[in-house]
Amino acid sequence: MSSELAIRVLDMGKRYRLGERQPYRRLGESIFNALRRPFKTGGERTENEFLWAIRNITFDVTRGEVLGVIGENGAGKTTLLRILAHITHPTEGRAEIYGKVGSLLEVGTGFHPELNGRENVYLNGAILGMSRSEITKKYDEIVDFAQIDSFMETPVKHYSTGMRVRLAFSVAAHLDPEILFIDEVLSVGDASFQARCLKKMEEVAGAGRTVLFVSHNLGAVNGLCSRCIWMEHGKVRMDGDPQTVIESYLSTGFSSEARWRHPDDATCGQQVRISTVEVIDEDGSPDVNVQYDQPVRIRVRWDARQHVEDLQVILRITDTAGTTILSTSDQDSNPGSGSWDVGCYSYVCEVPGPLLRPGRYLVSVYATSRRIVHEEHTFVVAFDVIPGVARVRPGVIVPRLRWTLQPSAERTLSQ
Amino acid sequence: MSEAVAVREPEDVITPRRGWFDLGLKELWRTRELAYFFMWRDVKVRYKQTVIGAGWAVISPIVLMVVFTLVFGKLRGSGATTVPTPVWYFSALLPWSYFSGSLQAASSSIVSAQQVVQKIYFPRLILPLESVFPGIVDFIMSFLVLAVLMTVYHVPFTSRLAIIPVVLIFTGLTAFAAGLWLSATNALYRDIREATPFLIQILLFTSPILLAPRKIPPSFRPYYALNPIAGVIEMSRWAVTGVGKFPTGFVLPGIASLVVMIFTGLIYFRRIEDLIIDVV
Repeated sequence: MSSELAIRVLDMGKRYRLGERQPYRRLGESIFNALRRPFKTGGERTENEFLWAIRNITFDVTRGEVLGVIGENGAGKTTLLRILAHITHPTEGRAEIYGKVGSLLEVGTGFHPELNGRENVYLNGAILGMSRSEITKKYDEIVDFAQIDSFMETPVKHYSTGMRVRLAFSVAAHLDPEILFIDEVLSVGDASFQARCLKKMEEVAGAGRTVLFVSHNLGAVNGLCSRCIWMEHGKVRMDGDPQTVIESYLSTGFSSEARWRHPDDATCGQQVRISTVEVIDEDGSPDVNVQYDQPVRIRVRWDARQHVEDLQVILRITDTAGTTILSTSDQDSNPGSGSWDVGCYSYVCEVPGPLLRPGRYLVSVYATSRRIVHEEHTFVVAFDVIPGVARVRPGVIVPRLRWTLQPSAERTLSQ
Repeated sequence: MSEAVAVREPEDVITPRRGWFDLGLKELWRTRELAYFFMWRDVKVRYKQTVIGAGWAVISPIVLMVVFTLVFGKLRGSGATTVPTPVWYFSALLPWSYFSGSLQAASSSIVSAQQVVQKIYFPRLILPLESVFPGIVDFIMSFLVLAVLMTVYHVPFTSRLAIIPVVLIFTGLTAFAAGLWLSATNALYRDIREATPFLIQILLFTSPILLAPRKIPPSFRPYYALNPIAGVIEMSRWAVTGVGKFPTGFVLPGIASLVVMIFTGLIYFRRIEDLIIDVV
């Protein structure tokens, strides 16, 4: 069977000059460098001064396919998307796009705080590529979806973060392109809004549109995509059915990393930022191997960048098939302790041992307030529970439980 | 896996480079609606949270006019014209304040839109281009002030005033041409941000705003007139004051250098555009 082509990527590569991604350059420095090394021009640089963000990427996407792209931070997912969305140019190779493209690389790009909700819908829609008549036609739907109709005449600067995100996603969700690029937009808003976003995306995917979806949210990729690409070090490591790809990603994608640091370039919460997550031993140093009868210690360091209320720090432990084994919140130990002043904090959460069966586990971390998800990082560190000397019993979980001997008052030994 | 086939021409082909003279004007035309939205936003937002609001549009030329009249009025040189000094200055400040405001907006246009530019693709040419439009509102308001001044000083309204729209377009194009160079360079080197106000000051003092053009040696005039702003100012003065001959000697070299500036500016902008995104 043959089907219609939507995107064709051929031998694509993008190279950055090291240091080029500095915020900006100073004219004086450039002139000085040119004077110091007058004969050193573009062609003569050594290969060491370059960094290939992606290289030799080749794949086809057929019409109606929903392609998920997964991979660790820095694997080149976003670079690929930025090239396909025309934001930056490739260094080599080419891509052909068959159809009208809409891209959603960030929610709420170009919102102007002084303009009111209605005006921003028009402005944002135009930035995303909608025509004025299209926006007018969909305006009511957009406002309905965002559920903030009574605030449409209020300047956006008076909106809460949640309202702003809802309105922005709503505009974006009503884009009507044949091909849609989406980068990590679902990690915003409150839970019920996220659910509606996912539903809306399913609708888009179901309507036969081609979607390229970059995400760390493996659950969403698994649920929404018909095909999945796993990128590693700027290359396609695996391409195929989402379930299979995600499983291999989860089982091999994590080397023995016991420590995760917030990537500097990632967008992080305005109020709360999770800086590191690590699995540690008794002495506090990172260690991925945990004896089966020992507790698992997970340390989360986080910064409150503004005063926050109702904050919950949540850890979720998942097995390599993606099943949640348990989740826990700091409220477990300190109920009602959600108010924090600006500062750096550190939590250690202990999962008692023995409890988890020997095997590999993945940790996800979240920071939420009542209505906002500040931070959401899925599968940031992995750890192995190892059998050790004690014999492992059968069972999904292997806790040792308390047995109490009851005084045998009512019953007597049968005669 | 099924074999995918292309049943139509690709809408879009992404390749490493494009030709030298592919200026992207067709694409610009296609996205004109976005340019309109940016313009509309700038006009709407411009004077929010200010007390005097749109009054600011005319305050700067008025204040400059008063200062020039009081401080430099005597230096203007005697003879030649009977035009009242305030009108003489204001007729030059009318295009000047539109030019300087637009140039400032255009030169910072890419840097101030960096967030959007990094996330969404649209022809970036829109940015310096649309920044010269909101100033038209100010221009019109200044013109009304000028009309009042002319009435007060009994300067007759002549049919020459019909050329004012040409002055406006000429000024806007000059700001756009210079904005092309400055905005792209500004994204690479923030030095431009420091240099722009300085550049505008130099232009203010070297343009024939304070200077009576009669004082410029005739042999030097064609070179002096390569600054398109000189032609614009002379044209405006010719139209408002109603005296003297049409300043062809100023306007023609100005148009020539303007055409060169726009064309080279477009090429430069396109060349540097891709670099900008990786650097901004």
